[in-house]
Amino acid sequence: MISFLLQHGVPAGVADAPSQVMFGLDAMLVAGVLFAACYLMIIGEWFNRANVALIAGGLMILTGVLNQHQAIAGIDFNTLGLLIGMMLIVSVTRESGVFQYLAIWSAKRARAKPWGILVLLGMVTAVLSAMLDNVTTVLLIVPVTLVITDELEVPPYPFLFAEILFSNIGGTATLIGDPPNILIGSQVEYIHFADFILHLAPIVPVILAATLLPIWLLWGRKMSATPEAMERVMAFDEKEAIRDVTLLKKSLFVLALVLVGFLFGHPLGLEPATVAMTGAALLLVLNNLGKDLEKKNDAVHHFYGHVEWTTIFFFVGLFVVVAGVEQAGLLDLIAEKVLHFSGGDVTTIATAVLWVSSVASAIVDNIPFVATMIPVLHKVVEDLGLSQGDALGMWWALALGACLGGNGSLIGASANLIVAGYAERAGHRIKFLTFLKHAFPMMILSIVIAHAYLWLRYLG
Amino acid sequence: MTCASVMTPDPEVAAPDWTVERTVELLLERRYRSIPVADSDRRLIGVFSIHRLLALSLPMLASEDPESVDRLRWLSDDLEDLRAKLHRHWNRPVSEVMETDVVTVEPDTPLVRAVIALYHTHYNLPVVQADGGRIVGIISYWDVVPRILR
Repeated sequence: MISFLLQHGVPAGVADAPSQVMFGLDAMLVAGVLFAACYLMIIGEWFNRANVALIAGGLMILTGVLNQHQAIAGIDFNTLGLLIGMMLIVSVTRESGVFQYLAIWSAKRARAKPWGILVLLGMVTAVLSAMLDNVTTVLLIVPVTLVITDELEVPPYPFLFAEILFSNIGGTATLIGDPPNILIGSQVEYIHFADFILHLAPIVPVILAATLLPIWLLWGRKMSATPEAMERVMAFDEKEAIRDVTLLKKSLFVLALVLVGFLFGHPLGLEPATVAMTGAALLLVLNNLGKDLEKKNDAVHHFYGHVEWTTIFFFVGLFVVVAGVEQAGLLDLIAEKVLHFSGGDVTTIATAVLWVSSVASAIVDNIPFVATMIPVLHKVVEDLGLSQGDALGMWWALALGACLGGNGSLIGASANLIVAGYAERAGHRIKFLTFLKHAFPMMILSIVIAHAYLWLRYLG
Repeated sequence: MTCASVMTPDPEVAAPDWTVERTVELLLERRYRSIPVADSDRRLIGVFSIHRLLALSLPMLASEDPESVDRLRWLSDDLEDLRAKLHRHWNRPVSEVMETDVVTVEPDTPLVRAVIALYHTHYNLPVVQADGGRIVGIISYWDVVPRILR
């Protein structure tokens, strides 16, 4: 697609003209100012982040830091295709009711005991977050959780807190679980879907278990519900949650195909975007079988409408901004500084990447941070002449730091804000400082475990 | 025709510190569809409606999801459970549960705009002064439907 766009999508001449910054200004200065302004605007949340990134990306081209050709080459269509494909698959699958079924089923498996429900709903959230994006997962699980806590007459905060943390921890396990991993999987050519499972998934259950302990000490050991309240939950009929058995079978079939494609597609030259987009198209076609034309069109419009286009356009703008600072040489400069201060020691660099990315991800959106760090680390790997195997520790440090760091505060990850917003509308406000007080130490605990894991397996 | 020509002037209002219980009792007693909530200077700050009353008695999943009639077949609640849920809000101030994003019209707003607003909202339409936002009237279905039919 990129080569097609490069060949046909932009007018020759203008597109290929060498970049020349307006008024003869220094490219690095202009790119640096645009980049910093874009970051500040995203952190400040004064404007929608997609608009900010697109305007900053547009200015990179208009000021001459990038030409049209370079801007389009900077957009990672693999990330975009993977995100859109998975969003479509989830939007069709959720219509079957399977996610509500899973949530109710786990509550009843726990015999409606509050602590058991918290653990099982947390586990369901973690597993779903590994396979779907975190925002979708919490959007599916949290509303049912609130119905359950309402029936049990127990405070919902510990449940929602656990689901936020488990969603971000679970998402760490796979390439498709969290946007930082999608970016790393798409932009580091020697890291594939199976690598995430082999290298990151093993530590995830340990972090989940370690996170459960403080949750139990803080709330779990005091949780109780009356027998009548538990009976109300046990009276839920999870089978009634399945609205469309045929759609459920089609969805599970396509999801299985897509997972097989992710696992085994790479040797065949299939990137995750191709697998996800083809899977999405297949599921949309299967869902439309037997429907009349008008309903087919309605269904397709409905599902495409569920794609989070603001996120997609945020990525588009961001990729162009990062391409701008990369083209201007700013990221090379940062990479040189990293090498200088670390003395070129891989363990020091990986450790710094893990801790800096975790704290940074707790404070700012982890997507722009990771998008910027990837070219920096590419340069570091290149300058140090590291083999692919030796570089792995650094990439896993970035993935673990960025994904787990999202747990550090209520603004650390999109899923956290989605849960907080839903809870507030339901009359259960999650206070920023209360969450920070509980979550930041648990995030640090998870990073300590990740640090030990990296040291034992890659750096020691 | 303007809103001033059909509105019921000087409507009854609830104070923000009224409890949900007190506000609901007034709604039921007068058979109002909604009641404006206003401060001591009668400046509109929100609306409490029967629609909000139903939302308080349902799980949020039911009130937020337009397809929940079908999606929530697994719920086991009966009317007693709904009543219990509603009663948990009984002593909260109405200002905490009212709708605050309220569509209003002014006395000289053309009536057709009030009809459009009534079609899209779940409450009777407050008529407020352009300057200061004081409530001067209210428009219900029954104020406009007879005029459309006539």
